[in-house]
Amino acid sequence: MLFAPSFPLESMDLLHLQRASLGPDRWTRLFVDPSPQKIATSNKATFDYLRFLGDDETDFEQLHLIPGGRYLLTLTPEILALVDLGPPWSEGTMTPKLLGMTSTLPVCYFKMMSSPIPRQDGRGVRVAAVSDHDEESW
Amino acid sequence: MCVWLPFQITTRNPGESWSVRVYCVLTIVARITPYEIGPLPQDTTIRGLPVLRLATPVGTIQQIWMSSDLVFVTVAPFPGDASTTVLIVYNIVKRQARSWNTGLKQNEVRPFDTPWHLSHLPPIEANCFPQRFHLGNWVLRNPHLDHPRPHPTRFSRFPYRKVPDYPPLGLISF
Repeated sequence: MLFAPSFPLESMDLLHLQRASLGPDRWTRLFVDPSPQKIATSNKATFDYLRFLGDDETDFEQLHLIPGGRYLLTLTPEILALVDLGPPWSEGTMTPKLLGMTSTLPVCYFKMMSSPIPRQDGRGVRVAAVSDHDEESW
Repeated sequence: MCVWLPFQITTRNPGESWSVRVYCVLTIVARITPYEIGPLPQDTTIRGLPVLRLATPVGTIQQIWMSSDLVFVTVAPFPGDASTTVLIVYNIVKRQARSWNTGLKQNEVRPFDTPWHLSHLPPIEANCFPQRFHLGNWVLRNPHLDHPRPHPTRFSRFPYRKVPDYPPLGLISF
């Protein structure tokens, strides 16, 4: 089961539709097959987090790639952000875009987040985050 | 931010009696914030949903995962504390939380997460859970997946022994 908004269905050709629809099965087979396999990089994306957030602290607490391979959730102590990596079949270097972000500052710092789950309508995701408080500011 | 619990102390002065209201501070150790993102790809709003605050220093949050409208949290006891891992289930629609003392030490709790492909299961009723998962030797069962069972909607200890519900620990306003 993939996250449908990851795919621009109207503009996809047959090859891309096949690749998307068989993606979960190919992914499962990659790990079920006991024979050693080379795990190759399919796409690369350079994500300039500093430029996006204007912050010196770029330590990620967690990263979650939403099934479909296009959307990435990132968590730093300061910010929960959603990044669009582009269609997963993009050739060469992709250009990630920061789509949205939220923060609990100045009173809290993110500690961890759950894996994302799809909303009931399949058009969005839900995620839960834990934030800790700063002793000085509470 | 603190939580203030009022109680009274009565003091007697010569010729009069009066009471003083005194407040006790409980430290909030963490807050759990569910977020809703989308609808994608047009609208990328990240919207915060009702927050759950953990009000007592029961320990450190060990794991968090979501399924449907529920947030599951395990809270491990502080080192040296005789208490055991607490499981908290927070319903973000009803804004209600329940907790159980699992009887498990920190190293007995298995990692758990909600598989994406199971997260679309029907919304849960009270005391029902969207799928089965193991927490150490504890089992939460999904009545949609695991029936018939002796107690299909109970939070039970494997193999299906009834476990008493413990009062909520440190859960305050949502």
